[in-house]
Amino acid sequence: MSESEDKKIDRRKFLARGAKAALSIAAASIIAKTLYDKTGPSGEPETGLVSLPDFSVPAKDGQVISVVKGSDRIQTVDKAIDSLGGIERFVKPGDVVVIKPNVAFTTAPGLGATTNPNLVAEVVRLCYTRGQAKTVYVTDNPINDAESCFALSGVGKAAAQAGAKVILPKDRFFKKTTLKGGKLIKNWPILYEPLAKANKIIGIAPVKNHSRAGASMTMKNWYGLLGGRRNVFHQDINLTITELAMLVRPTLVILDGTEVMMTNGPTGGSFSDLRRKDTMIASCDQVAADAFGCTLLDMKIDDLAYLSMAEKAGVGKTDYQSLKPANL
Amino acid sequence: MRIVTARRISQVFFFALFIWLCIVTAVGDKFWQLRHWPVNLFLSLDPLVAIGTILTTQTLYWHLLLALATIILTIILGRFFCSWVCPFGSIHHFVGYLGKRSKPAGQRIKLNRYRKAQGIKYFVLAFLLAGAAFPSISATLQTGLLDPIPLVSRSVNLVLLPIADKPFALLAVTQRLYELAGLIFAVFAAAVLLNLFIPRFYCRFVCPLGALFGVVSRFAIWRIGKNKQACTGCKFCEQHCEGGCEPATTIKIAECVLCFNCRDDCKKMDDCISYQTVASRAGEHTNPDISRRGFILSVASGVLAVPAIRLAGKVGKGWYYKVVRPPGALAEAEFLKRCIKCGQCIKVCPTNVLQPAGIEGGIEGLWTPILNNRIGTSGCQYNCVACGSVCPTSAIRAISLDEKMGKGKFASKGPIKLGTAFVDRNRCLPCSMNKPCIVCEENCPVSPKAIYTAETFNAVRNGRLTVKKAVGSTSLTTGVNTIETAENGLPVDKYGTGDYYCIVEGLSGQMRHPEGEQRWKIRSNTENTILCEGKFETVPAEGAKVIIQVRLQRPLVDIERCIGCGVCEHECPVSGLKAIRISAEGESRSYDRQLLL
Amino acid sequence: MSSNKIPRYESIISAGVILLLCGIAAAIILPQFSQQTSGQTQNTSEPAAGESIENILSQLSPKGFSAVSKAAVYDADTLYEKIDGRAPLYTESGFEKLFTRLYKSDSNEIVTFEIFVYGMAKPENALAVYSQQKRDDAEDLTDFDFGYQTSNAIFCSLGKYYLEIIGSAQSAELVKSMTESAVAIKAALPSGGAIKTEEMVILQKAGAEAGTIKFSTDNTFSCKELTNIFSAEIKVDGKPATIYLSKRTDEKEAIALADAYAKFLARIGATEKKIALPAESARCFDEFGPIEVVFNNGNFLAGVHEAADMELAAKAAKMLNEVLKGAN
Repeated sequence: MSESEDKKIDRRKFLARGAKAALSIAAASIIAKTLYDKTGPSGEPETGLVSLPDFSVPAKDGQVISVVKGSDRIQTVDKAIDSLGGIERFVKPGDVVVIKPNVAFTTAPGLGATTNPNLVAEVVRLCYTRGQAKTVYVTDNPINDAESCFALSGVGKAAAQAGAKVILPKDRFFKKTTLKGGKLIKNWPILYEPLAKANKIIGIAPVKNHSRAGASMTMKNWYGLLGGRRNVFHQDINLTITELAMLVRPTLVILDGTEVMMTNGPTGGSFSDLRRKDTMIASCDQVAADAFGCTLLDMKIDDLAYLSMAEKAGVGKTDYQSLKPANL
Repeated sequence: MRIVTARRISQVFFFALFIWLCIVTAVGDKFWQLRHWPVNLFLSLDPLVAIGTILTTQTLYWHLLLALATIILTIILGRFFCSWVCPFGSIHHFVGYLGKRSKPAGQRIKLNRYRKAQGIKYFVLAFLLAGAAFPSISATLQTGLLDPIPLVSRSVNLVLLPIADKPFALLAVTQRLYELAGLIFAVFAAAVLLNLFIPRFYCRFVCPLGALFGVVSRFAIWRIGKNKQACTGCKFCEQHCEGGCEPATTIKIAECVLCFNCRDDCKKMDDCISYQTVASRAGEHTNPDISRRGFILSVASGVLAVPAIRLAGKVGKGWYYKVVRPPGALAEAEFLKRCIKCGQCIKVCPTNVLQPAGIEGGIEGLWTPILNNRIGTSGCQYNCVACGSVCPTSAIRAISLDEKMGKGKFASKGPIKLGTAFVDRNRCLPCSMNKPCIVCEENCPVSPKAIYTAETFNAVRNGRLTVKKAVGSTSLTTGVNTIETAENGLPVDKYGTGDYYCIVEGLSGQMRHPEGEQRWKIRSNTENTILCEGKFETVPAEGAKVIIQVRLQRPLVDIERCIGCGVCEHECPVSGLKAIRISAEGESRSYDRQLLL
Repeated sequence: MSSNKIPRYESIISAGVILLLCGIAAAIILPQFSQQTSGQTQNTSEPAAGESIENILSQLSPKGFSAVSKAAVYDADTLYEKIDGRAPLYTESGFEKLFTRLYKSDSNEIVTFEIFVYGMAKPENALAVYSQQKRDDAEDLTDFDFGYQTSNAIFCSLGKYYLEIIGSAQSAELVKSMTESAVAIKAALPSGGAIKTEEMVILQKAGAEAGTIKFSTDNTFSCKELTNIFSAEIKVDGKPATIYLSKRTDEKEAIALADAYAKFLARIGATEKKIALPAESARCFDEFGPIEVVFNNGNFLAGVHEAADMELAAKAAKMLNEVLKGAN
């Protein structure tokens, strides 16, 4: 190889090397410029709050709330829903429905601390057969271990057998929400994933005595949609329940007063805590349902501060009589 | 002047500058304090800090833009940083020199040969960056464990300077204490001492920053290399080689730290080595000498290590209450994406309350800043935001005093809370020992105070006495009653401190104290007499029972006002396990650790 | 080829490196001399105080009013432009900056009010300009330690600020909005603009009636030696008297000042009376009817001004001296 040949190669190599270096420098600079952050982090929580749609159906006079007496939950719930216009009024063909039972504890179904599994199964069945729903989800974020709660309360199996998809509260299903006009529910995680897929939501709750709130019925049932360290909400339980009722505008609520937990709530644990009241309530107005429900606990509407607070917030009516309950 | 002389001057200059900047990382506006010194200069120049935070946060925080200059210069010149700027490198360089200076040339050449194990540092880099790279799985920034700049900053700030300052107390009035200083020192000392076995041991085998420069230098325009094919093969060029890059044969460009010793040594012999724009005539390796399998393995273990560590739950539900972060610190997960454990905040903290953490907040939290209110001269000083102002990565935001105190435009957000003070009633003197105290209430810097007190009067031990003779006073305001007791053996003058009162059992309803209470303040006592202020309406008869009470104020915390500064905990006289302690509940930075609605 | 001679280019490059290092050193060291204070140290609150007033004004949004312009700032040189002849009153009392902003009513354009915030060097300065301008017939503002209102204006002393809000009309409604603004400014100031000097605490302990504490920088009671005096109205046995107080740097100064005031009283023709007084140093003067007492207790100059009779003066002096004993 001659010396001039060498130099030529050298020059070519140098140019290649220089070009690579120039390209790398340009790439590094472009990356730096693109990612450049003059202000630094704000310290604020990440944005992207979710909000819940209004799941309610148009009101019909005289078909807001129905109260049915009887000891067989299947019969009473069928009749109660039929009195409001039938499940067809609430679930249209192709709808995706979320059913929110109260599955808070790992107690046996007969003890009344959780929603009766047969009742859940019946509503699931109604949604599929008469309502022709596309999918029915059953979900709750229980207080005790979620899997155990769904198993031991019997709700998981009963719902699944009726064809519902049981959704356990996985961490990633929770998204943060802020209630507009709310004071307490701010930036708080809720069990959003199943709700995001659905266009209808039906709450099914038993009537229970509750040591902090006085009573736990359909409005308190939404507490099971909250995630995070929700127990701080017990510092102001009445406003919390009010805000939950403002947050969730349900298609329908069903309040099971067949066997009512009169004492030792909300966990119960003994049959002696229960008393037969043989009452089933279906309602488009959760405040009215709970206002009626408190009479089953031998309480007055004034005993539950959240009822009148929710009424003031425009959620519903405490004077259920004025709604002319069907069958009462 | 020889180029190696210039290099040595540069090393001394940057090392001295580094030490100076460590010294001035202290609150104050004296010449040797914070002022306008660029205390984060070296950390800002460190591209590993910049790249690490880019991976975890997808942003380049403006403090770190300077790293771009380092990268660009490295692309042009090669690994100049290692032998010209890096203070840690200079330490290794010097200690390595001490270790090999008495050895014969042949042994030196052997010491400086290339070793396959030099590839380990690339695996270290890949492992650390992989752990930072996937925020969707969970990312944490652990480069600071081994990144030489944070490592040497931490070691100098938290170990070497406090030791050096101990006899003089020039930098700090009271001895600075740092938890885990021993561990920080152990890592530092090990890294330094290994130079005695192999020069620049850390740089060659461990340093992830060196590895990063090694990767970047593959495009370098100027490189060390042979300018002619034939040389005598004396290998003298390798006797002082810092990088272990074998310039005598096929040079490993990624290992070359640009010390220029080879050129200097060769000049005396063949003069065939130069810093040139063409490849070495003897050929060169530009890529790091690592196996693909090793690389994939380190990336994979880095990616998996983070979720594995996170299984401890320390960032979520299992968070540890003692992990109280400084004001302005980001929420824990975000914080761990930025903190490089450099110790700048800990060094600047005027009260020494900031401490390098152990693994209480998770393994990834090692050496990150947390508050320990027992150590130091006070809790978190009310009107101080120094830690955030020096944080190079904004893991602690640079907040204003207004923001910290919740004033001005931050009034609606309220003050920044670090946590909440909890009273341990089992240990609190007035709560369980019948001793007046309330030091915590007095020292609470919040206005109105976040600690208030509930007053109670408790009977003292053996304080139920029988009246032998009582003499009432004549004046309501200035009189003194005398009660002589049947018991003989009261502790003399113990009850005259102003904290003790007496009541008369059964008769108290008939008597009046100047303030309308049926209780008289004891002015003094002897073995068998009590002098108390006020006036008896009915003088207690012989045989009546007198009860000596102590007035106690028991502390209560107003959790809506408490900012968790820890001044109360620091001042609490129960000095072992404090009777009032800060726990991170309620800290402003995290929404899921709130105590209050 | 081998040689120990250093090539010329190597020396040049080395020199270049050294030069670069010098440049870096200069770039780091020079800024240390150019500015006195550090932006990074903890003492950032004071320099920011001026801006914070601008902030407070810019964030102030009185209901029904909107700002006409941005907040304006005047310093000692430009104060004349804003308030003409009244400027010396402020510039001689530690004036630093004036911030003003004009607001107009949303419903009626001609109804406006303007906020004047005078930033003074010390709270005492603000109190002095406040006290000098306070009219006797003014109505005290209940929400302020030092504040009063007239039919169209609000005046108050808040920390080191003296605040005036002047309305364009005499209307209760307008004054209400102005008061709200004053309260908002007060709330936004550090520690709510509270002023508490040692003298004020003592005067309050001695029974000062609410809202009567005044502060005068000089020429107090027409005596030019009496500087920085706090005075307050008290009632002794139902009869009014004025007590006054001033903490001096040492006892010697307090004695000298008491002496100077005694000389002043003698000069204007008051006759010294021998009565039983609380302190040895106390002297009593009959000022053609009104009685004056002046004495010192430690560093404090104290006294009674224009008491109706000897007995009243002696009692008031005794009371003040008792409180001072506790304070010393």
